[in-house]
Amino acid sequence: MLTSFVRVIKFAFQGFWRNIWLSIINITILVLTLFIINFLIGFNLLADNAIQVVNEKVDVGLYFQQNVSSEKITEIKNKIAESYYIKDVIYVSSEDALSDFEERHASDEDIISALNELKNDDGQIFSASLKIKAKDMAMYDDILDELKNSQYRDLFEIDEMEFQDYSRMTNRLYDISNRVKLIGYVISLIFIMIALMMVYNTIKIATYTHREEIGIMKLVGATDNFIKIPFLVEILMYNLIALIVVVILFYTFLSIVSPFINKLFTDYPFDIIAYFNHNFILIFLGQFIIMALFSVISSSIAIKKFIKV
Amino acid sequence: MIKITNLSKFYKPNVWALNKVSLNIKSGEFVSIVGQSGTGKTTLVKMIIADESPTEGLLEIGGWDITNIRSYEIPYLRRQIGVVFQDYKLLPKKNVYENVGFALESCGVKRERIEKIVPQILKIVGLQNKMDRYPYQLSGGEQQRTAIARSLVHQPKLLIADEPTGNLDSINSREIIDLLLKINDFDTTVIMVSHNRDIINSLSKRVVTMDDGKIISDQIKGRYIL
Repeated sequence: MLTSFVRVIKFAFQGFWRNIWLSIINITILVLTLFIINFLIGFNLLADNAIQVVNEKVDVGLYFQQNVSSEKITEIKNKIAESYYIKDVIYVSSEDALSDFEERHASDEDIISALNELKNDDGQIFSASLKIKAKDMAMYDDILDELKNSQYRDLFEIDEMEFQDYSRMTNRLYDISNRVKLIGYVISLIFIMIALMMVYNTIKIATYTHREEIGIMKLVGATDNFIKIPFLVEILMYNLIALIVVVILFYTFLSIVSPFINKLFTDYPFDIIAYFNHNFILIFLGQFIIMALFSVISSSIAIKKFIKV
Repeated sequence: MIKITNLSKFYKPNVWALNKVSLNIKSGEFVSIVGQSGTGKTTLVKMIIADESPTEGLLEIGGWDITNIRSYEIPYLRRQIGVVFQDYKLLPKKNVYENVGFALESCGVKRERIEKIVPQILKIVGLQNKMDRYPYQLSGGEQQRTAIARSLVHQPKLLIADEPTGNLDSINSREIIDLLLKINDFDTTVIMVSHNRDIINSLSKRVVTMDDGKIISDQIKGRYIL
């Protein structure tokens, strides 16, 4: 048993080296396929993160009239928060709004002096407001409907400009992301098909090259598995080498692009390398298993057809 | 040893390569099968080694019904049958030792055993001093002896030689026939398919003559009658 196992591995290595250029071409195609798949995974991650960042920034503002008391606003806040669509409601008092504004423009004397002139008798200028965040971007329309039909509608103004701007941005992001994903899926599919056809043809060529040996092996009583398994091991070797090359290339690629990606997400900690590190087994082992499985099926069909075992 | 009953093989569109052939071969016999090209000799050999399946009839080897042999059983049948062809079927990139050892390697035999058996077999066929030679460095007769050595590594009870002297001159042919007779003396059943009238006539062994997919003559000490 051990002798046969060692011999099968030996024959697989012989097959690999005897057709080294064919092996290199196969590995190259598999590397390209796996690289594109990983690129797509990285891109999906980036797009999802970008959309999430934009979503985080979106809210709908309710600006109350000066005469509405803070107790009333709190009551309205609690009422609104009961809605299924709402994730969070933040109360910003007129004092908080003012101090926030002053803080942000502390270095601009013109704005601060203009602000002081506009203040009313109580020293206030801004209305108290509620910042409403939805559980999901798609729920803002329902929230706006609820607010427009609210019993307190005449106590506040709805500022949906920010939401509309972000909504447009998110839709564009979705749109771009979906297009790139679609192109990525199509390219991946094409490369997977090419890789499988290459594997099939490699077996076809290998069986043709080894036809004398295979014929003699069959003649002298070698079992079908003894003839078949070296070819399958050879195909698995292609997959394994391709995986190792892809891991090296893809991590090199990530280390080059990650500083640029990090600049895009300055306020939100996002480390694409850490993501791949954390999911290394799932991503790369998963890819190896799936590709190896398809390759083995493809080569088994070729073996059955060309050497009738 | 071999029991063949009403064995037929039909090829589309309308060729009966074998037509109700019946033949019994006893253990230890030396049987020559003769006949012109296309009379079904090679088809019969292919069926004995389970390279072709019969259309109808029964074929038993050592009590083993191989008419409906399962594909996973074929390797085990072939380990019990040595086969030699006219074109030797040697691997050009392997030397004599490796060509013979390859048959054992392919069947999972351990290296130590291969190292023991192969020199013994090569001694029997007289190639003990040419183990390192490659096929292109050998004469036709030596190549055929290498092929015979390879067919003997499993110590088969049956040796089938399909036109073993077809590519050889008369001296080399004689050597190969002598070797087959020697193997037969070790109680191995030998079936030889041949066109060589002189050799068949010199053997004084059983001769089965085929024509048009049928056995037309079966003589205990026969001659080439066509």
